[in-house]
Amino acid sequence: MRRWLGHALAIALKDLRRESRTRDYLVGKLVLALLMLLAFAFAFDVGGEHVRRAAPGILWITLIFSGMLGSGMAFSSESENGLLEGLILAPVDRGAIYAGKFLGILALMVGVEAVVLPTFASFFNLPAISLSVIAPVLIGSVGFSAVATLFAAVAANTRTREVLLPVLLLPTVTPLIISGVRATDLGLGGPAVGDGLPWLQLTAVVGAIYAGVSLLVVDQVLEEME
Amino acid sequence: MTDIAHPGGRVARPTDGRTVSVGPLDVASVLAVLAALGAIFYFSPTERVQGDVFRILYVHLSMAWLAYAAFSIVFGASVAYLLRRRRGADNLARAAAEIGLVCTSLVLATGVLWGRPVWGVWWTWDARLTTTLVLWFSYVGYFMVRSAILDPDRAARVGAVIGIVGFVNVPVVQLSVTWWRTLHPAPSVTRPGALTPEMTAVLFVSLIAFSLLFARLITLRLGVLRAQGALVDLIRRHETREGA
Repeated sequence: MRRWLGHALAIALKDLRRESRTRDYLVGKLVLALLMLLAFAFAFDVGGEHVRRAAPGILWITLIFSGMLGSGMAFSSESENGLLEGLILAPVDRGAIYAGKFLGILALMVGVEAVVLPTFASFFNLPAISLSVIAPVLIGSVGFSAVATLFAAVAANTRTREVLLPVLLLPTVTPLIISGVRATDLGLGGPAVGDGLPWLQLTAVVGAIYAGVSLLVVDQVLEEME
Repeated sequence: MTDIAHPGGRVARPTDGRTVSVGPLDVASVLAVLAALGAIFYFSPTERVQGDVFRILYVHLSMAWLAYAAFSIVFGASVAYLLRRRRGADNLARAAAEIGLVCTSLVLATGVLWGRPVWGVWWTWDARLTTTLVLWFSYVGYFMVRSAILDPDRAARVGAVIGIVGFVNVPVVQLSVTWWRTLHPAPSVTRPGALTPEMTAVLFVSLIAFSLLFARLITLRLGVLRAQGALVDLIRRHETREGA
């Protein structure tokens, strides 16, 4: 188990080190997220009262679209020079490869959220920096990254990678969007986590199911990628 | 000219293309669907409130039932493929997914047509409708993935993975959507006691008829997929022989 975690961590740190040197995706994801907040501000005319109703959805759609951007690269960045084959041939459990990639995607998402949440709070003048909002966002990110990693492996090395990832991801993460938006909505209403708790639990359960199923089937996806 | 082994074990000889073999399942499904249509339009009583529109129920429910049956087959065949790696299992999953997608499209289409006169709206974000729509998108993704991957073995593996994930997700989607819409319960279409005995009988006949048609369509698709696989094998073998 420790070896398994060590392998996963090594892959995640490798991806993050690469990212910290090139900043290929973090900057892009961040700028997209902020631009989406801006676009939503125009789209929903945020001056009025009704922005409060739209706000949780705005936050989640922003995070999910920015999360989709660049998730595909988790595997495709290694598609050149047979790097992915090397990784798969390495004497490492494929579940650990999945876990490593998952941690990398999750870390980028959390990094984006660290900037998006304060910006969201100030743009829309809402108490978004509270445990009752941060908790669903973080738990939802875990679930989202779990599916995104699996589908990134599926879409890697296909001709239509950029189209395929959202088409697969969005219907699958419907439960996450629903529960995340509801939990965030209740979280924005007040400091008490209690109201949103059932939705928070649903978010967590859904994430756990995604991670479990992904670990079960990822071997099949990562078998010889050619 | 050599004979090509037909997927069904029979031998298909190259003909002028006019010969069409009609099996018992063809006859049975055609007759059954005709009988069901007759029952739907002539035997079934007209519903007291909804009038003739109600007759769409027979098609709608049959298609819904078959869609779920199809996706269960996709799930089972996908698991079987990943465990045993038999091409037959993958063919079955693919054929069932195709027919399932057609059935789901018909469920949505008949539902929209029915909803307008009965509920007054084409669409409502009721739990069952929403789940069906998400399901439809999931299986559209299934075919997009398969067509994006050139290597047939990898396409089969990845297709099986998507087939499993999509199916496992159905109850989760259903649950979350139901929670989402708890405040706005939509009218339930199938209340117990809502159907007269004649209506139940017609529904039963329709179910059997469309199931037969469904079975026939799947075996038809299976035959084509098997023949395609055999052809690919033949070409491969030919190429390796030429290369040697």
